[in-house]
Amino acid sequence: MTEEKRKPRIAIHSITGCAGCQLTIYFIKDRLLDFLGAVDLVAAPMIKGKNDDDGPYDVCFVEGSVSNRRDLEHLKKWRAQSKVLVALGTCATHANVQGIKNFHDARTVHERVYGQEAANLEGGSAPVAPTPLDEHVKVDYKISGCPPEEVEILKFIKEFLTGMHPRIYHEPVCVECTKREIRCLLEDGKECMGPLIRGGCNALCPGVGHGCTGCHGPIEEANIPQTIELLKANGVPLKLINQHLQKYAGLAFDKLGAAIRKEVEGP
Amino acid sequence: MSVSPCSAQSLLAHEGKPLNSVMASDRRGERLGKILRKDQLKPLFQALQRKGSLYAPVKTDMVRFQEITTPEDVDAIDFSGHAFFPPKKYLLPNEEELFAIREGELRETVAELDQQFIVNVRMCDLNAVGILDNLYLDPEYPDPYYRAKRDATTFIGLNCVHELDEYCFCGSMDLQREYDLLLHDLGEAYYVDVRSDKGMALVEGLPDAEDDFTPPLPRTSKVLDPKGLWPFYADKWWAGDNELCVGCQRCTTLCPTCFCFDVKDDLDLDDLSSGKRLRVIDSCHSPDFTRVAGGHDFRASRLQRYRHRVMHKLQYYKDEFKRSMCTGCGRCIRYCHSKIDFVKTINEEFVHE
Repeated sequence: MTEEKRKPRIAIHSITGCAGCQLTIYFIKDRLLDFLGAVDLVAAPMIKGKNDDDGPYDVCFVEGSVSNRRDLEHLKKWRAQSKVLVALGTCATHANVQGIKNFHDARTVHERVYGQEAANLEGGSAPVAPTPLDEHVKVDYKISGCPPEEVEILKFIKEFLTGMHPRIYHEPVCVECTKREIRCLLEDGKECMGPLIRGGCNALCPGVGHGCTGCHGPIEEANIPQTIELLKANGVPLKLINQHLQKYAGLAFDKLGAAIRKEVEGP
Repeated sequence: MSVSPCSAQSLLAHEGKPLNSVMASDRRGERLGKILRKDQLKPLFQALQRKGSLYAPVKTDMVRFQEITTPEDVDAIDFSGHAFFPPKKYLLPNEEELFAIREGELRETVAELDQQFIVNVRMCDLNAVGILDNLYLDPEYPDPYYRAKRDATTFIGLNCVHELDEYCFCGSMDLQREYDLLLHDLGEAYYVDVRSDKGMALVEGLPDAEDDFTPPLPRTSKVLDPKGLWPFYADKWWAGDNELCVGCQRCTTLCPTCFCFDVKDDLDLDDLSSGKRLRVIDSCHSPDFTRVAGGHDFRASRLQRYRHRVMHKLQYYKDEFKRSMCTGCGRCIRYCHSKIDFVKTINEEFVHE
């Protein structure tokens, strides 16, 4: 009986990223106390002094991409001690901006960032190709977004807590954009990645007149060649289009067949 | 997996008779035509505002149906454009609550609604309401949520004297005169075609039209060849358009007769045994639409989904209800990112050698 009433043990862990994803959880404001009441937050190093680093966890949210050896060790440890592992945010789901490095010569990038210290990146700090979590471990759920949407996180938590199989929104940005009756930027000859990108953001950027830049990563059936044609017809240079494709989810677009490796020159 | 209310059982229940004949059945030999001077239109709309809520198209960066809340705002009502989003949103909102559960008690959300008047609705969108009625007001399984809104709604149409743009093809569709009132521009006045008691109640005081006149149905230069589509089911007929489809679902989202929905639960975080059940408009162009438990997807490819939409609009519905489900509003072509034109494809490419 006590087992039945036990609150789920939740961890919120972080590897290479800006930590903005876990901030989104802590910024749920009026519902934060409800959240903390419903779960046992056993590890959240950003906001807690004492953390249970050894698990086990019922759900472990991991933000950030695997970008060095230490990241990988941590991720494997968390995976082993978690029933459910959630990749939270576009770093964790798609490697995000650090993933751009995959399309350039790594040494040149390291030297540009670290100067002469580049040669001393050793041990845990030794870089690995920036990659999403599922390149290394089994990921049960992915909530992309830079940062992910508060409503998507809350929905996931609520569905998990009631024993449902959480459903992640899969439709392109255009769906919510059209439902909001926003005038289409592509139709107006502007730049917008909406048709390729997973929504869930309620068309946040097009809603204020800014084209989608793609921070949620691609939908599974993205029609890349035709969307590129539409953008080109609007006068967007191919190089810029490919930079957009690289920006948040270059590896995923690469896997979907976008010819972005050869199109963008190095730094 | 999404739900569409046209179960085989409900389709059979009607024997092909359009339900909307109900709408026009209350005429009882009254004069059907009234004359409304143009200077009387604003007072008429303002009178509707006093009776309930008034919704009308307004042009800003686009034409959109919206609530007209103040008497002065009646001046902003549009008479020349084609609304981006169809007025079906007042009958089938993108998201609506079906019931709520609080402290173990279930409370249905069908509310007593105030009257709503939707004006300047084009013939295509008026016909769409009749098509939705066939599905949602099935005599055996009427949908209470739709019913409540439908009963509270009066449609006042605006006849298209000229075609609105090159995407309109309603002129080639089987249009019915389905509305409460239709305004037909005669120059100095409107001929008001009255088709229901609800409509008559609003214009009783107006003078009867003298001539025996029926407003003509709109004509369009774009026409859809009414050929049957069953001989053209094979993938090859659809492959060309499919290449251009980016899967954005604007065609279904903006279609005045697309009616499919998904059902979702939204729980309260502070008490997970409380919450609400929502009906959310869905799209057959979504890969999730036909995906079922275990991961199988009945229409796994974009081509299958595109074909399904067009076949449903032009063939499947017609097989059951003896009329097309498409009203020729042109939105799915006008607002398609790639301007995929199934009318052109059917007319020009669906030809057996």
